[in-house]
Amino acid sequence: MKTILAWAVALVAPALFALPAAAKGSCDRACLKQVGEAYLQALAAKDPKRLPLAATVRFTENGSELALGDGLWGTIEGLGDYRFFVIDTASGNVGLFQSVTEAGHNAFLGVRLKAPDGKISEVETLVARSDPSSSFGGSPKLDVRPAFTTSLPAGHGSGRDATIRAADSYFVGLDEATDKGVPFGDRCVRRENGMQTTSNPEFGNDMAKLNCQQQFATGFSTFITGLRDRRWIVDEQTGVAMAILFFDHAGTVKQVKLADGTTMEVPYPFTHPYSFELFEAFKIDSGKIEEVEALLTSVPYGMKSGWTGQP
Amino acid sequence: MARIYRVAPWLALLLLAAAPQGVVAQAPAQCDQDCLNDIMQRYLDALAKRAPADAPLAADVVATENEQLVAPGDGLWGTITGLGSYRHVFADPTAGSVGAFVALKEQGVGALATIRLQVTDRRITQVETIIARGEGTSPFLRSEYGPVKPAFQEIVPSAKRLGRSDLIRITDGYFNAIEQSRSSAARFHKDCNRTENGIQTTNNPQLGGGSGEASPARGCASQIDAGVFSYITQISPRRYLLVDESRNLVFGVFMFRHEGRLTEVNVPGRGKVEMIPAAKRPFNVVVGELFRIEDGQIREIEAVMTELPYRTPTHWKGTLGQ
Repeated sequence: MKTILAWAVALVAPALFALPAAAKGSCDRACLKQVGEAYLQALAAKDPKRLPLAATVRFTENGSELALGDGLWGTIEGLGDYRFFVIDTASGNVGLFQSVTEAGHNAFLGVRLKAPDGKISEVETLVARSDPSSSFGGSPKLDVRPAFTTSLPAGHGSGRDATIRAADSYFVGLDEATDKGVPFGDRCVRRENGMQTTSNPEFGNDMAKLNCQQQFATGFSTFITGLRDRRWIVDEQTGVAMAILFFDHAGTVKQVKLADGTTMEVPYPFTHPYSFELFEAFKIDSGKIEEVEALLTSVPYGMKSGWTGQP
Repeated sequence: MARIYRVAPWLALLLLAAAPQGVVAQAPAQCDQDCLNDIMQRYLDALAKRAPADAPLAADVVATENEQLVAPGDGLWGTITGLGSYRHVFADPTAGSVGAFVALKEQGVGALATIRLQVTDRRITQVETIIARGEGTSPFLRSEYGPVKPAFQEIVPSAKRLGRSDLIRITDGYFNAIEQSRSSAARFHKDCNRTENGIQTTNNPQLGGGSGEASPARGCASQIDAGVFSYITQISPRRYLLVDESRNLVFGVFMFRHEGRLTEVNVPGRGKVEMIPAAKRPFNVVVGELFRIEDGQIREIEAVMTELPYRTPTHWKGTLGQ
């Protein structure tokens, strides 16, 4: 089972691309949250007609363009309790991390809605299902860590651009297989599809026992051969930056020489070509990465998000 | 309520290819069957050596792996550790296409691929690869399943050959039959069998996992009539890419879409049967599939397939015979 390498899911890539902040519209923080809640209610009711839609809407699920009402809209059985919003008033986007049930199974849903004027024009979603195509099973009960919903104390914010830079340094660190230049806080913990993959003595492999910084310092991540198409939204009130991106595994790296001189054997499935699509949220407090929360699903090697230009 | 359908990783699998950028136009017959077979051999030899420069690739070759664009040298080129024994090559000089089912190793792990090459002026202009990975991890994959079934290789007497469009039409009935859960929409030979990812999934009581009407012990038509494929919402596009009239063969790449909304199916004589959870979620399966037609009926089917995200678009466009 792919769960072995949950920790390995932490990966790499260049291109820092924030969604345009120039799109600021009339929909303020409360309005964007309301749009997010309306989306969930409509989804739970399997009724996209309830959505406040713009004249033109694009919807993708796991990188494929669908009609609203298709995909998870047709199979969802209910919403779970796990939910938090990433509200970016500057770009008119709201991000959502949400647990759902489908066919009696738990799954995680990541959503990005663009609605600068309160009308949704873009719906980008990721569904991490606990099925054979998914790398990680969904946790039946998962709490939302307070950091993702709590406003930053006065003076702890870094501003939009610096928040993105701090969070993006995580991917730069993965790409360069180093902790250098990645501002991890001492308490940093990462979860992936509900599983804690750092500082977790019960996880079953030594790497997951390490904290965020220690993991990066091992240099484990060279088997992640691409960290691409990174796009960001930022909630400046909570200090949460959310990336949508892909991890590529070319499958060509079979062994990694770790910083301590030992050799890590890269296990299957990371030894064949495939990619992850991820929604990944970072709590940035006083310029430090304090929490990392990722939703991810396996996709064909090299797949595009549907939101970036074709090669 | 019975839960027959837990069988079905294999069921869940199904279904072919022409030219993307306006592919499968009928190319001039510059390269005959032996020439095309030789080009496939050279391609596979280069692949095994991870040496794309050794393959007769056109400068503007377009290549996909499981529907994603890959540059020569990337994807399977970077991970293959050897070719296996099983290989089934078929060719269509009229279309300038050659296809193959190929067993291989990838970082030492068994895998099974179907590869289609489009050839113009003896150079490969298109490479379409569908690869099922992870033998030993995936229960639905056996890379070595030879020898090639004789029915695929028999030369058909001239009097029994069919035209290209007739061969495609008969094959297309198979997909209509699946979509409609009605075998009479197709014409099945009484000895019809289907092999998917190296595993015979019809008339194979040893396969296990199924029961009653959903059993892989049943034949091609019987499974369809039992409704075991009713979770398949649509098979589109159906891309017919290669026809061998001398053997009554048709090969194509087909996209199976599963909406995931069907929760149960009414099986004749058995009543309502609950779908397995794996069928109750949105997903696609892309299938490279070869058909042998005999006496105007579907006699033998061979396929390689892999799961893709729901509604993954195919990179390629175009089909033969339409």
